Amino acid sequence: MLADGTRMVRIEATSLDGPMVGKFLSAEKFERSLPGGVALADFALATDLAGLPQLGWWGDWRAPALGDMVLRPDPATGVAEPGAGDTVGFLGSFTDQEGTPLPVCPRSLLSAQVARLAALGYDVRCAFELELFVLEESIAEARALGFKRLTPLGGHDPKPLYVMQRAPEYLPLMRAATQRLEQMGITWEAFNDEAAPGQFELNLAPADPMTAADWTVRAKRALREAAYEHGHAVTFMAKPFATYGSGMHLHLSLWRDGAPVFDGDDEVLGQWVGGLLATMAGAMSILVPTINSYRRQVDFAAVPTTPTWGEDNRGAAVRTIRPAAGGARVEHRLGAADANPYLVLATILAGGLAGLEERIDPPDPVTHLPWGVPDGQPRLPSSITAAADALAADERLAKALGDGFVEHWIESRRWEWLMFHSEGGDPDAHDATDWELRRYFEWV
Amino acid sequence: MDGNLPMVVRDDDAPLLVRVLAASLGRAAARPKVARDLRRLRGRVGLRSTVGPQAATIAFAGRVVRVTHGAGPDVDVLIEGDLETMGRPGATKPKVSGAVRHPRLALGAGRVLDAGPPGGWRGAVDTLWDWAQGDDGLPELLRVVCQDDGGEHVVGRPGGTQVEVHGPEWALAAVFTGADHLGAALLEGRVQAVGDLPELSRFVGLLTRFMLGEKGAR
Repeated sequence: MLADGTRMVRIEATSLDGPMVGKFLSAEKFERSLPGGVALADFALATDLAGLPQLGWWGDWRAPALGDMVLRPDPATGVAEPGAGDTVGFLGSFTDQEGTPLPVCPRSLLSAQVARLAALGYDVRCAFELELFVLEESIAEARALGFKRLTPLGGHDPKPLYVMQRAPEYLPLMRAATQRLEQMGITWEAFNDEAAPGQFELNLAPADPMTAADWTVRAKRALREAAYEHGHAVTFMAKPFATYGSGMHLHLSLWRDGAPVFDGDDEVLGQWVGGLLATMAGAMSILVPTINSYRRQVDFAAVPTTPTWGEDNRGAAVRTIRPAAGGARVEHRLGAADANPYLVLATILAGGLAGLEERIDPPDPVTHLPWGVPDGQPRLPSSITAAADALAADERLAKALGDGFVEHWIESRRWEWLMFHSEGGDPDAHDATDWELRRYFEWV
Repeated sequence: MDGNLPMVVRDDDAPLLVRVLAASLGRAAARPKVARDLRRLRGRVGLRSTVGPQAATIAFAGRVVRVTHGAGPDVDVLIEGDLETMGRPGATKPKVSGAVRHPRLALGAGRVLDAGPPGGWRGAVDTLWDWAQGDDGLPELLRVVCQDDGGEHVVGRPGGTQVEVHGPEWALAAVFTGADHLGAALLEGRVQAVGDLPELSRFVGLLTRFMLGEKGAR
């Protein structure tokens, strides 16, 4: 599997909360570990972002005495590591000792939904939009400050959107990041200055779902590493500052026999949207996963707060886009930047699939901006616990994603809530608390 | 539900302190003597942490006791202290404001807030055991050992899953009344436990639900 001259292998995968976990192996050790993969302690998937073991529940996938799981490399993900010609990088999936995918493995969860779609004769093309903040400080300086009182690149003062005149300030970092993407075979399309000071958006090219998610986690890494080299820190926290928050929108189109489906089949598009909306409250727990994510969920902040869809409507959670020249697609606008791309995509595919399988009609589209709706109209869950309760009540997502994952996820969100409240998190805070900055800044 | 028992209510998506207080008062209100005390109380008692942002108000109004988030200037009695360590040996006594103007409320509130089950930590274990029947976190046998005097209390039947919890009397009382979180108490060394990790983890979940008053949530 390795080219001549390779002396080191980097193998990694995301934990449920998003950080990449894995190992560096000598080429010889890597070759010996095939085809199964390399052992990691299974509590890597059952500790929180502060490294505490999550107590309160138990998944049958876990060994009773902190045993091993296996990180199996996906050969298709092998790339020469940027700037390290003797190192090859792989992404992988978590299995048990016998090679069976773990029910909580993010990549395997996505793979299962892709297989379900394929069984219905559909392919998916999709692309993530990544939003992030770049800081004036380096990551070492940010850590030393406890991630507080940091300065967004360009300062705190409000500014217009899409501004180009500060390009000299951010171009060196973004040039380095996009070069890393190209070295890893990742096709990027655009990047731009975003609404908040120091906020940027990176657009990746459409790809099949697994490739799109793989590219996204590697793009986050490329941005972090480029920032490190240029003396800056970046964060994918959903709401590190009081300004606009960061999302992770997903553009998606359905294909059959090599032809786009949404361009000509309104019924399928409607059912897809119907499924997304029918599962949206429960999906929110996965798409908007942290205590900090919910600080972004405010009206009139370019974030969906209602379970709605509309034609070219950026206020709705689902925006359908039908250019005259073709290329109809759905933009799912709910995902927060701190969500796990594999889980986001698996959950969205599961929702769309439910719509197709059950022929779920969508509600009427909204033509207005659905923010600040009067009391009594449907709204999305507004807290990590309310979203976890909604997921617990969603039989469609439990069936599609599996009880093993859904139960683990729900308990992990309740654990997150418990840690916030019992470790000094301020329930009245309007902006990110010290607890959130310490817990999420570097790791989501 | 007994119509004479006071009803303890809180908001659906309340913060931790509100849930813990409401659950604790709800369990206490099921005991006739505490129920009688609760029905007589009138007024608003605030609790505010001096080491963190947690605060709550308990509004006593006869048959309804409402626990809400925050402690504003309108409370009649305000209890301020380290809510984490309150009740532990050597802990600083809380500061109580308003007790001179509202002595009955201050004394009565103190009594119901301290109203652990009869029988000390053993009674607390029995109360938990009864409450938890049917919860999948309940081991078939629970053995609790008091490190102060070596006394032990065993509930359940041998032969299946088993969990042991060891600790000083004050720590056992705190854990089994829901005043302390078993997971935190274990990780910070206030109590020790014996059992398979899956059983212990599920038991922590059970005690968390007990602490938050979430019976039937799973």
